[in-house]
Amino acid sequence: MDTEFINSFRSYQKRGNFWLDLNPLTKLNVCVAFAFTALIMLDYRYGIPLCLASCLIAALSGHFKEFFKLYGKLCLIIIVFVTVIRQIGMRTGNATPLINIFGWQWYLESFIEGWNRITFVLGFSGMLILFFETTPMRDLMYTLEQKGMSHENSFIMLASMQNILDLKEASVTILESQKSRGIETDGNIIVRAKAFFPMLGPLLLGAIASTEEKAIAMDARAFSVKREHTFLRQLAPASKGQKILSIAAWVFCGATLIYKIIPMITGLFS
Amino acid sequence: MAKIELSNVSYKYPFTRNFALKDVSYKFESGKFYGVIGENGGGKTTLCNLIRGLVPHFYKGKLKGDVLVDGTDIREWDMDELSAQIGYVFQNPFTQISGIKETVFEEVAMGLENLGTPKEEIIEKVSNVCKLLKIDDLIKNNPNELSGGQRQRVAFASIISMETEMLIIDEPTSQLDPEGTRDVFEIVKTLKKSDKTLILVEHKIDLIAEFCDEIIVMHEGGIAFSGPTHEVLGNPQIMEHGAMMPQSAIFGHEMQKAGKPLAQIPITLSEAVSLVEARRQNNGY
Repeated sequence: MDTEFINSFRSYQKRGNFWLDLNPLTKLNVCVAFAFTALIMLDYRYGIPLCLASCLIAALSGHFKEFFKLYGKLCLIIIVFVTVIRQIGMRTGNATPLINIFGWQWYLESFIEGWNRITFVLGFSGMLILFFETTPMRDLMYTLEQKGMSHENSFIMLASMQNILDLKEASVTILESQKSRGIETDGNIIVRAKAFFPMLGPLLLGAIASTEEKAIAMDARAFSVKREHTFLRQLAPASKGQKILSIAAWVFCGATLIYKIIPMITGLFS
Repeated sequence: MAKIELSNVSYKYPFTRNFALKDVSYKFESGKFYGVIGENGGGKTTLCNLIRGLVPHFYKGKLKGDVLVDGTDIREWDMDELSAQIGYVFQNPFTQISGIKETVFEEVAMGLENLGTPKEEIIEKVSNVCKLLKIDDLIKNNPNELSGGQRQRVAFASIISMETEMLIIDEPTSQLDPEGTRDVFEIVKTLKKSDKTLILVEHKIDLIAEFCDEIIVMHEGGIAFSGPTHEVLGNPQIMEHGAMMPQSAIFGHEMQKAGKPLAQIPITLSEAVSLVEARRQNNGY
């Protein structure tokens, strides 16, 4: 028996990386606070470094590949879409020509306005994607349970994620069995749409039946027993330093809000 | 006092016309191993659901008669507390895995976590159970990636680790291949050595004959036959009530018909071999 693996449960779970070993709630506070700063600042000069920072943290935590798989696609779509839409949509305030693409004049002001919005979206989403890619859901649920969330809610969240994968597998099996019964599943979009409905019925009924059995199985594991639950796998509680980090992140967020509001207020009174 | 006492129990599931259990009376004694056999739809699973408290707490429906578990009526039991007394393993190995744990070790520990067991005790109990059920090579694996047979062994481990006094096992091999079936019956053999009260529902009659102390034959919601294993499984009348006789018992009856009776009707292969050997010696072969 792997005694090293078993002994790993005797102490707090650690992965040997500063970011990954932060308490999930600390990470959540930092990521959400900085995500909101992107919204508040709405400035590419702030947003671009923020986006790069999220990429850097993902790389330092060893999760850059998974992070960029989603973030990269998002960047491409948002950058292209918003840049083009801004050039088309912004009719006033364009004074400085930028480039001319086959007779279509692009202006610097529209470009900058576009990038302010791009970096707001990418800065905001980058922080949230960073959080979810570097924080296992079970760690987050564990931390929330420590804060008083019921373990039923924790189970529902975690089981739902697994159910999505199970349903995906089941749908493939059902499609294959429907194919063997003569239902066409390959072809144009209309053929595929027609195949969707004969798949839906068995999938839903199977899901309902397996949910009943799962409820019984969980009951057999004393799921609803009214006793205080213990945990085999434990995470270290947030240290004083981590709590200061969380507070500092929100203070910084507040500071960016004040930085943005003050010119507006002084402008009103001048 | 009997562990579980059923007196004139009848039960009907919600929205159904027919009673799934009809006037069932039986006493389950502590420490014995009971086999429940019978045709599909005979009431075997409903009987298990009743003993486990799923009827009436989970399935609701109409329950008549008295069901006493450790002297207390089932209707007064808190179903959640019953789960700490009576373990339940059933057919589908895929729905018995929680889906929320990333390793087999954590999966097996889940019941103990729910019971509030201290961590060191969890580690000790889970390690012991994994060794006992020979799944120690799987402890780091993701339970969602296991085969059916492996999942069933993990399901057994997670219930056994909870050390309930009684265990209900409902057709644990029906969805398994022969290898998986063999693994499960090795577990059943191990369980027989403990002093738990066991109830096993199975169709594999030759295997039931080997382990059980008493047999209950369910037919159309009622108990058609019950009693010591040898007595029930050696009785050819059980075949008229949807149950099968072990091959060895059929052989014993055929020998009787052929005018070459054995000393008694065997119910296991090893017993048949011994009886045939004894007959040969007696007849000077």
